[in-house]
Amino acid sequence: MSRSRSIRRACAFLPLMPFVLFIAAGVGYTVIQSLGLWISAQPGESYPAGYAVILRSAWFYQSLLYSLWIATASTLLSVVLGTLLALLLRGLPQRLYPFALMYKIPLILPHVVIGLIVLLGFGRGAALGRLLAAPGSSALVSAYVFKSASFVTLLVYAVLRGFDLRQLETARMLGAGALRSFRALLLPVILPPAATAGVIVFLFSFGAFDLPFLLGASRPAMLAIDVYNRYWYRDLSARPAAMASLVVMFLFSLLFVTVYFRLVRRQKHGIRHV
Amino acid sequence: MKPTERYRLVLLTLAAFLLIACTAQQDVNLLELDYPRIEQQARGGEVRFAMWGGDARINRWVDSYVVPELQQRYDIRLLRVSTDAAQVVNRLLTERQAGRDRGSIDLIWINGENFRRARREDLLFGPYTHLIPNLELTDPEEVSYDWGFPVDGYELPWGRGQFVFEYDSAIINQPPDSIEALDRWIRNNPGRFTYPQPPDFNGAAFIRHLFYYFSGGYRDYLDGFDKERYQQNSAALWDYLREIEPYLWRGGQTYPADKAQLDVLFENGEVDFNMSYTQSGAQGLIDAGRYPPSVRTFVLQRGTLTGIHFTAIPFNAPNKAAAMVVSNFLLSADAQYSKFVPQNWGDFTVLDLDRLSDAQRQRFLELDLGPATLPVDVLAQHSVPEIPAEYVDAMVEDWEREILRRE
Amino acid sequence: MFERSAGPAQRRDYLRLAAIAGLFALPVVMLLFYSLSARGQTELTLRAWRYLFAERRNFVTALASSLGYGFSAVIVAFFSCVLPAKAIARAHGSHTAAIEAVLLTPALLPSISFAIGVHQLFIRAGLVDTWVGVLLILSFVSYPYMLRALIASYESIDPAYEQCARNLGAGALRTFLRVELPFLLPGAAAGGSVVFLVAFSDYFLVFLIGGGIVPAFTSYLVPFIRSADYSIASALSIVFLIVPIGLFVLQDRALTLLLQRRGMSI
Repeated sequence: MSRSRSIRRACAFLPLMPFVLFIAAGVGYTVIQSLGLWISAQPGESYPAGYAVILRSAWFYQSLLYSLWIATASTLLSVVLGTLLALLLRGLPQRLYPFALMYKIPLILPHVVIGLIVLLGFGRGAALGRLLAAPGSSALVSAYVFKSASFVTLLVYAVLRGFDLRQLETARMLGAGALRSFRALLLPVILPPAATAGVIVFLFSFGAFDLPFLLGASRPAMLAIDVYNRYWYRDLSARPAAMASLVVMFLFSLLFVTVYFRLVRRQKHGIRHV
Repeated sequence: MKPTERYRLVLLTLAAFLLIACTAQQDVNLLELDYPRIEQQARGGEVRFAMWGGDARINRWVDSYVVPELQQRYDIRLLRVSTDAAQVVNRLLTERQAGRDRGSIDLIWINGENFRRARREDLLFGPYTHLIPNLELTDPEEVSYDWGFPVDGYELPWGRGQFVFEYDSAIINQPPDSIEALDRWIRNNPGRFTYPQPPDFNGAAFIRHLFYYFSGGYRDYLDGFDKERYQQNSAALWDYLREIEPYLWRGGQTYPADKAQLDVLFENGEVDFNMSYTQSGAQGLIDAGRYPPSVRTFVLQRGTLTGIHFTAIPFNAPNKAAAMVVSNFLLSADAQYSKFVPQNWGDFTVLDLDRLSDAQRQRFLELDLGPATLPVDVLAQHSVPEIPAEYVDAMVEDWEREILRRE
Repeated sequence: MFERSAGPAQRRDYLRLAAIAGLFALPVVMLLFYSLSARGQTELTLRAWRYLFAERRNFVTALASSLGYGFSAVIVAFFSCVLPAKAIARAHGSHTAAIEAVLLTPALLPSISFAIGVHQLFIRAGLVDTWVGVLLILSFVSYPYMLRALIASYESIDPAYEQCARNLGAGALRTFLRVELPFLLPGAAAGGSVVFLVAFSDYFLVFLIGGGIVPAFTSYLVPFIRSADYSIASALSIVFLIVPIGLFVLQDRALTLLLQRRGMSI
């Protein structure tokens, strides 16, 4: 490859450079402030780094574990329900399929509206009470599942559509049981899109703000809400800890993003949905 | 006057006008002007007013009364921005640090710890209040300190709130009007009481009452922040709050995130008490059909906190002149009266009635505050001053550590 | 078990459909019902809809602003992603895979993990509280959807087409407009829909960067939910559902017409 061609190819990425740089700068700024620098208006004055504070606080671990837990529960439920729904859709006669498209409604609805629906669904009179009472989580998990199951369905259904159902019949004619033919034929098809969808759902329910803001309880708090409170409602001395939480959150997310791309690359047929 | 002199005068005035036009953004100039000139300069301006947006009635009052009045009287366009003072102060800090001389907020609704923080980091414009004519309608002794912190001309008084508890008299005959009685009531009726999670304004105010109670009253704290004294005296408060937590709504597992959520719990009958820093807010909610007519308010025998809230102008407000005119209007007898009407907002006036004209004073005195509002003299007799702002910050921080995180 | 029968729908199929409807259409019916009810009353009322009509100025401003930055995000995403998408699709190698992964990451990360840092940055740059700032931050988190869709589209275009057009003497721009664009449109429309949805329905980023000054439909809705005014919140949510659905139908029609005129089928 000639030099000028590779330069030209690099130029092709210029339009996206500002975005990437801004985001990188945002992360950089977070890291710097997590170290206690660039916070005070007085030149030269700095605060102690925030890591010692959060890593020594049981509350931080609680928030982190709680966020991970909510994300895990939401992911597992979404993947199972979404996949079942996709299978159900696949079995529907062609004529009825257009009506079934309403499964996409949660994809269109913003998270804040999903939050409202969950609030209403939990019973109006005592909505707030029951929600906040549920060990902090059932409302949140239901909201995430309601939103994300459709997403899983979307991806799984896309591959199921290309799956020749006669394979199942053949397997049965050859004497395979329902479970066995599911495991041997259907599962390998379903698993890749379900897994990628799962990672996306996980990342989302791990760090999103909108839904915990509407549905979350005070204790334990989702990480995003904890950071938000520290960032807005404390004085500057709390800033490094808030930023340090964000850095930890960022690193965790990066880990899952890596998992995601590993999964995607393994998928030969290139069904990739970011 | 000789023609040449007249000519010179015209030139001079022109030059002056040009100068004003060119330096409209320069604050020093503004502080040297007199009020009529400021008002002149403010015409046609736009003011972004950052105010806590959690109360629909307050928002509606601003939108339906203040906005059109300002438009009509001064040709000023007021835009209400729903963010609370803490957020504005936080942002101003970064703007100050980055040297941004042109911000986006012109006026902030502020008091207490946020004002102290803003002053300490030099985030406010001023001193300017000596230029504001309506300041003369207030009692200087009352409005020169904001929770123990000197105002020094950097914020203008706007209203006076007193903390009251709200309850439904159809359910409770004898409201528990002392900390002891309230404590008994909470223990006897598990799950029927809670308070909004600090840093919510009302929740933080509620625990200040307990702090006063456990440490012998407000008199010990009038002379500024004393860290040692605070730490000694606050231990009992945290012990107590931990002790009653199991008797609170949902066993204290969670707290309403803000006043709006407590309102909902109270309206739905999930808890029996609401709390408010607006004396006649309950009456307004009755008239709006949100509360049953049997709702009443009470104060503690040893008194409840009374605080004045203010408006201030950020150091980098793009339109300071118009912001000054707006804050002057908010302090006018007309606007103060409109705000005083329970159906509008119910916030008490910060004006000294003795300094008003007879007609104006009569209006205030004759206003019917409704059966849910305590008589003005009862309120006045049961009023205790706010604590210095540093204590508030410390208490909010400690509440999170001691109660929320249980560390 | 999951066969798709070619024959007429059976009772079993209607049951399945009913299950789906129960899950997904019921919440919408619920919203509609609550929008017609009032706090503490049993009979239906139009209070919420009347309120929205009386408040139409604020509410329409908020909606227009949200639509505005939603569409702008789509346009920004399209123009900034076309060239990179082509470069990635035409190059095969581990480098490009890595570049693609990096470029797609912003959509996967929780936005708060970099948005607070960006907020500090924007305060310094004077972009906070501005429409441009909101558009920028929304573009950061939504362009990957466009990028991914365009890469897929470019992968489906045979480079020979382009070469052919060039050989016939068409310039780069002409080649793009006449040859590539028609192929890209369906993908761009699909990616654009997601970009639009992400931008249009975001609450946190708009509130953070817009500071309550940039009007937004979500910022208009959330206070009603927080203060439990469920009837007005429900009415607003229905608008929230209708607007994107209407737009998608329109877009679908427009795209079909356009491509049919060009003799392509989709």
